Amino acid sequence: MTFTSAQLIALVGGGGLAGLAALITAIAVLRRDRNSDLNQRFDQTKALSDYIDERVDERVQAAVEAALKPYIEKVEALEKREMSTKSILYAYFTRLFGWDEGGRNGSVPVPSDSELRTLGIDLAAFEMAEKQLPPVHLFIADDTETPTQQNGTPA
Amino acid sequence: MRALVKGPSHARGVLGPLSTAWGLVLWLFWRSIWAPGSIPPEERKWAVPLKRFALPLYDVVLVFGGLFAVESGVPALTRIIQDPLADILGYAFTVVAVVCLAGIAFPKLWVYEMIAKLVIVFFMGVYLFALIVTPDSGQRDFISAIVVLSLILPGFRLWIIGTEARDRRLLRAITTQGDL
Repeated sequence: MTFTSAQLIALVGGGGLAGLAALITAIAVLRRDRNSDLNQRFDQTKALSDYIDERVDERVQAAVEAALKPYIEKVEALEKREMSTKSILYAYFTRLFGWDEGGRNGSVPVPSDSELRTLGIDLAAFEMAEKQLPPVHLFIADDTETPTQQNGTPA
Repeated sequence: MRALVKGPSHARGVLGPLSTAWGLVLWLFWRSIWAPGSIPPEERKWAVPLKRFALPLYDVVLVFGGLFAVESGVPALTRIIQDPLADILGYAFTVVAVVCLAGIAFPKLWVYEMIAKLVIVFFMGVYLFALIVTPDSGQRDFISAIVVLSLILPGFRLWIIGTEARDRRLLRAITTQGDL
């Protein structure tokens, strides 16, 4: 497709005029009119909202820190306790393996009372268990029982 | 900036107003530039004669100009391009002029009006330079000046459209920032 010079001049000229009109529109969109009420309101609102943003950020930060403080402390305490739990178990298993490899002389090593308390194990439960042993004999298979028939009723 | 234009109760709703011809007319009227409240009071002095009379009339004349171009032909154009293409340009001019008219009549269509006005300026520019480059251009100087004259109102309208777009943008920024 080829253009004659007259066609080209007309096309370019029309395009140039349309470009000029587009430029007018773009300038009108982008121009800041300082005297306009709307522009002043825009500037004031922007300054106000920036100021409020800063203040709200500060306050929200302080409030969130205050609200989270007890939880952070709790988490820190839990982390510390986790460490002590691990060290108690590590020491206990070391003693247990030593006892096992040394020929199992003497009674099984048991964590001390303070260690058990740190682990959150109630010592009273052990004392109760010593007094009232669970009915272990019920769970031990005994072949000397009375034989039963195939359908389950006593002979 | 434009005041919100709302019709009476019988012209509201989604399908209600469109179900009857009178409802459709009312629905269109309350969204047009001729509806009460469509022009802010502080702009009334300039905007009423321009937006309600001059610019719509200009676009009506543009529509008729496009139809005349198809019907009678454009000598300056047919000298530099073939006739079928000139006819197609005439039809295109008519369609774009109708879009312009719709845009000035219904302010919500301002984007389409802006594009259509730019295309109109392009067409007018093509015609202007076709007038200038014709061999007997010495006899066409007056009509060239008249064509330049006809470009002033679209340029003015595009300027206004740009200013209104800026105001709309600023207003949106203010209201959204005001919400926090």
